[in-house]
Amino acid sequence: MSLIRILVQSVIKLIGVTSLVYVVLYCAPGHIAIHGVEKERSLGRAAIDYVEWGGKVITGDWGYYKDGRKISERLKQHIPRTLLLVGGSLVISLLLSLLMVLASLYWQHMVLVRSSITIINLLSGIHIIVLSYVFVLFDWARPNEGFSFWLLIILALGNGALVDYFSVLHSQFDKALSQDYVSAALARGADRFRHATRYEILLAIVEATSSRIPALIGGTIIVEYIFGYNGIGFDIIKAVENRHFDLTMGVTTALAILLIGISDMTQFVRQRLDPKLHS
Amino acid sequence: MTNLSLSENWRQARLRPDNGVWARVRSLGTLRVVFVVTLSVIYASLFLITFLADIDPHERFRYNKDIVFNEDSMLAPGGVPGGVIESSGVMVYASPNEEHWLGNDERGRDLLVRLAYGARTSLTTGLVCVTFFLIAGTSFGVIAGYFEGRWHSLFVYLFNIVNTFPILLLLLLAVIVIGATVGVEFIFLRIYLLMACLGFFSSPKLAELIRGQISSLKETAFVQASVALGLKPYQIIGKHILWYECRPLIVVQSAYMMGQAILVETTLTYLNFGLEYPMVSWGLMFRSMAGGIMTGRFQPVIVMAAIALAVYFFHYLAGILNDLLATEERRG
Repeated sequence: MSLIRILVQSVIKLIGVTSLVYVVLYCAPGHIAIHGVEKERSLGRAAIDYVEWGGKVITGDWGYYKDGRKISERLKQHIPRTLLLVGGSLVISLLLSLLMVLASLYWQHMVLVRSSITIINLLSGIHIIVLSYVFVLFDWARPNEGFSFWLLIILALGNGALVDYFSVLHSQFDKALSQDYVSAALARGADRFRHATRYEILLAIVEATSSRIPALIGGTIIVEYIFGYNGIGFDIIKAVENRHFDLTMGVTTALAILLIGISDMTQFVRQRLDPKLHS
Repeated sequence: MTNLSLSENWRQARLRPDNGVWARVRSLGTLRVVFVVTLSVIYASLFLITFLADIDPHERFRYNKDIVFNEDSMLAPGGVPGGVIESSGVMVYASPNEEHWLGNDERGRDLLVRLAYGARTSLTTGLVCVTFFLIAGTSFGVIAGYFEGRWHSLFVYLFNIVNTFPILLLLLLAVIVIGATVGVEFIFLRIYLLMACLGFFSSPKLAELIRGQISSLKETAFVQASVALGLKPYQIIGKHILWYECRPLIVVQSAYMMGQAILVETTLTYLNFGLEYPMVSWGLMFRSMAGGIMTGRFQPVIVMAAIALAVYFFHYLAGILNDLLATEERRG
């Protein structure tokens, strides 16, 4: 599938998702101020208002929050902070899991390796709230935004990703190194890890990352709330608490662009990496 | 190699069809079975005790000189071991004692009783979620797997879109709609509706798995034979594919979903979008005791442990069921 086709599909998905959320919120019962004013709402008017809102969003007018700040500016400041958390969690959990997988493959019977695998499995049951409060309990994570604070919230967030990466990479390495084509490459004098890494491991990492990102974004909502960290997750909580239409739509649209973009780019990368799909 | 073969032969011998259910359970390993059975008994006891015993989870207990505390720590002036006595005489954050086995919470209520009521809430909300998850996931999976062409593509497309978004974000959007529709007086209905939404939003994962099974089994000999024998599509899908082939998958996914439902209910309540007083839930307990963590109280840690253990139990149960049903499948 060409890049242009993927882009067109992404735009269609984006319009579909934002229009659905817009109509549902627009028709939600109770008090809700649409674009800062309380007006009469009906399903018929929703389509017209959606088109009007879409036009404004394209020109950069995403509305205003209660404090008078532009929502577009607020999101511009908060999105990079959330992405830093998500990216940091992904990188740290990937590196840790790679180290553990390689260690477990080389020293299969070492007590240290086996116990760390057990700990990893146990971690999968621990809630992100619980883990965050464990850091608070030991006074490790003070909201001063120092390096240790960043590291701890990244670790709290990356707990699930670490478990995912570890299980995926462990099974893929096991599978890849026993494949016939890897044995054939080895017999011809090629590096066994080169083929296994390119066709099996890299593909597995791309897929695990893509499937983990939605859960990580969901995790940032909790972590940002607990640690009072100004990111997009904190914004969505404020938007829901105050039933603020423009902020809810703004955050949803920003996240939709981000998540649909990542999902479709993964599809593109997968096609490039997988020789079966590529041919 | 020899040891491995011997142990595998021994394992296979234990799995002979005439060995029955116990052989399959034994093949899982004693420790795993003991772990699951113990936690099941604890969880079921906590759940049942709320129905059998007439206990008020909101009762605040006053200090009584006859209470014997389990620890010998110094009694602080005007306080009880581990906690304090309020001016009204209520013991706050008291240590475990003969009357309150796990001590008291931040308002002087019995922690064990509240944990039991919390277990009841988490189990009932989890069951609502799993019911909707099963109904929606199976229906969508069957439609996407059975029909070919546009319907198939449309469902796969929709599954991908829903899976792209974080469930928590979708639930927070649902809170805006449900929060205004259902009043505070029907707080239980609100959480049930949110759990139904959780089941619905999570259903594409199950639907995708069932769709894959149906698509792969469609061309197999036994399905072709069933068609040739004149069986109706609903009979083939319902009995031969869903019941015989997809049953392990559905059971395992349901157990896993139960754990996820407990996590999400706790999260929503913690974020102030779920249950409220006078309901009792682990999320609510944790939220109200979060301040106690800063002052080094152990009671929030017990609630944390209960949540983690319950979630881990259901995830572990899913793994056990997977092994058990896979063995059953292998035995044919």
